[in-house]
Amino acid sequence: MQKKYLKWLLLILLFIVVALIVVIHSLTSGDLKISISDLPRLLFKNGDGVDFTIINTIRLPRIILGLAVGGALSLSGVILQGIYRNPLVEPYTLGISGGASIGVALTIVFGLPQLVGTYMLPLSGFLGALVTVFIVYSLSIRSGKIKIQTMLLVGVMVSFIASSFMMFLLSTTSSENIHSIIFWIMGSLDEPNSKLIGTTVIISVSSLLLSYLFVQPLNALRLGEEKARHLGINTDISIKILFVITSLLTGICVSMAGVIGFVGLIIPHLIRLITGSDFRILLISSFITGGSFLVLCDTLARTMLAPNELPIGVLTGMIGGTVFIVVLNRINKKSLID
Amino acid sequence: MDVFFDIQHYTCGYYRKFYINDINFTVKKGSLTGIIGPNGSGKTTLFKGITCELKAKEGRILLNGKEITRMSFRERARNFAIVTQKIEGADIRVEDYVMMGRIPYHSRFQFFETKNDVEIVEKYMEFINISHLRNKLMNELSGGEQQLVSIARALTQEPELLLLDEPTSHLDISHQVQLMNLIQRLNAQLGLTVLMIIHDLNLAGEYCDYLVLLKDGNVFNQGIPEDVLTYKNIEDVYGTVVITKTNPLSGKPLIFPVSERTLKQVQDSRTQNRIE
Repeated sequence: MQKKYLKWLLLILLFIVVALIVVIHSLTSGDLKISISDLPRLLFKNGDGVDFTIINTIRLPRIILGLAVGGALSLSGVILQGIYRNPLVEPYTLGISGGASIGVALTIVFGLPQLVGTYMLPLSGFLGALVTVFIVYSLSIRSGKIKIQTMLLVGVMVSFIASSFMMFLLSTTSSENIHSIIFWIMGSLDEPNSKLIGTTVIISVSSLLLSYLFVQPLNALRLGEEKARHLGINTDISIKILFVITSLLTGICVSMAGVIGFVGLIIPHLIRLITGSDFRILLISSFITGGSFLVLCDTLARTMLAPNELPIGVLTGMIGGTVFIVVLNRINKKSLID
Repeated sequence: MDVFFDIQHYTCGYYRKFYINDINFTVKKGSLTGIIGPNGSGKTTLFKGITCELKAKEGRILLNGKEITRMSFRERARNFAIVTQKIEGADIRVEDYVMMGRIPYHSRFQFFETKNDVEIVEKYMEFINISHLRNKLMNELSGGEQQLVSIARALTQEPELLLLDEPTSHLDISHQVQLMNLIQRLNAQLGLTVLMIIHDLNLAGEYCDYLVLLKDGNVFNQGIPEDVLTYKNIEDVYGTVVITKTNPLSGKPLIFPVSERTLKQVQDSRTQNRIE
């Protein structure tokens, strides 16, 4: 048993090292190449050169947001997979991202951001996500049991409805709104408001801490809801609270960085292969690695076709969609879906 | 032997569908009690009632005089350990699976197992003789082994009452007997009270101290196996002709099915005898 904890500790250190490498790579690459040896000076001392400005006001905030959003998406993916006991659910496939994006788009169209201030977009994303979770959840329950397949289908349909509705909004609203909606749908970690970045980091990290209070329910749920109850878990309440946490995370991610699909799918899947299915190690590992993955994707997105910048959702979508198909294939072979 | 698990006028069921009515029986401390009955007689419904998966419509279930629906989930899990037929958690290591039985004893903020937890897990893995499987994944085990791991997990809950739902149903005869012997050992050596649903009447008769026979959602008969497993009761409840004999070694009842053809032959020869 002690050996297990030691292994976990080493794994966490490994993931942190990987994250550091990704962060340093991201800090140094771009239009303006910066050598690694200059980094400490630029990060920890005052300066006023171009490289100092680029590192501290452009690249670093972007990396911090990437870590927070990637971690949050991956965390909500792993939690949802735990609740549904299906490795294919994540905020994007369940339509939660779609719901959150409707919330945000509506807010932009009706000009509400100016009304309530900076926090309006995250809040509307959260509400959109929460409503979607409620719809998907209640539609996929038949006589007290969740039908996984129904739920995946409902989720996909909700995504379609969301994107159609988005088209509707785009075709009826003014051109400046169109610009800000499109800019935002494409997904980007470019966020000038440091207050919002700070809020995202705080919510993301505190959700991780909060999710650790539900590590026992999540672990017990691996045996199914009924067995989890037999092990003394109040499954109804746990699942509801976990849904609210994932909605909050997804809502804020979507409102900050647009719809970024599949991070919550690929990362937990890969991590589970490395760490096993115990949520005590799974949650933190997914969080750290999800963050690194998104930062890596973002670095690629802004350097691959420089000076053009690819929307980050494009990269995660292409990689993630492929992984989705591979996973589905493997599951069908094991016939886990009944 | 005192009464410590008591089901009183218990009625529960599914919405507008099937109900079990006015069930009354008690389980004595340290006993091995079996619930028997044909398919659709309400065994599983009763089991779901006892495990609080279904809400009682009337009546109550008491453990040591305390109503079980008044207990918290955690308190129930410390008192009842439940082994169901379907075993899940394919990608969990055996050792970790058994450790999950300690969850009811962990506080919300406890992320690591204590030394005591580890000792308890070791003790019961040893007792059930599955220590050599500890590093295997659940889906690498045979059905019988999975059943054993599941029972080990139940024992680490250190329950007052062990509930089993048809533990022998998918096993061949040697594994059936091994499992029932194990359950008997748990009962005798650990003093654990066991309540189980059991399909096989001969195993029920051989191993249980007390039987509750269900028919159409009602208790048809209850008592010691010798009194419950009479050919008359079986024929009334199961609607099929059987012969009962006594096991020459244990003195417990044994039930033999009678095929249609044999029955006809017997009847024919009887009529012939009468004519002659």
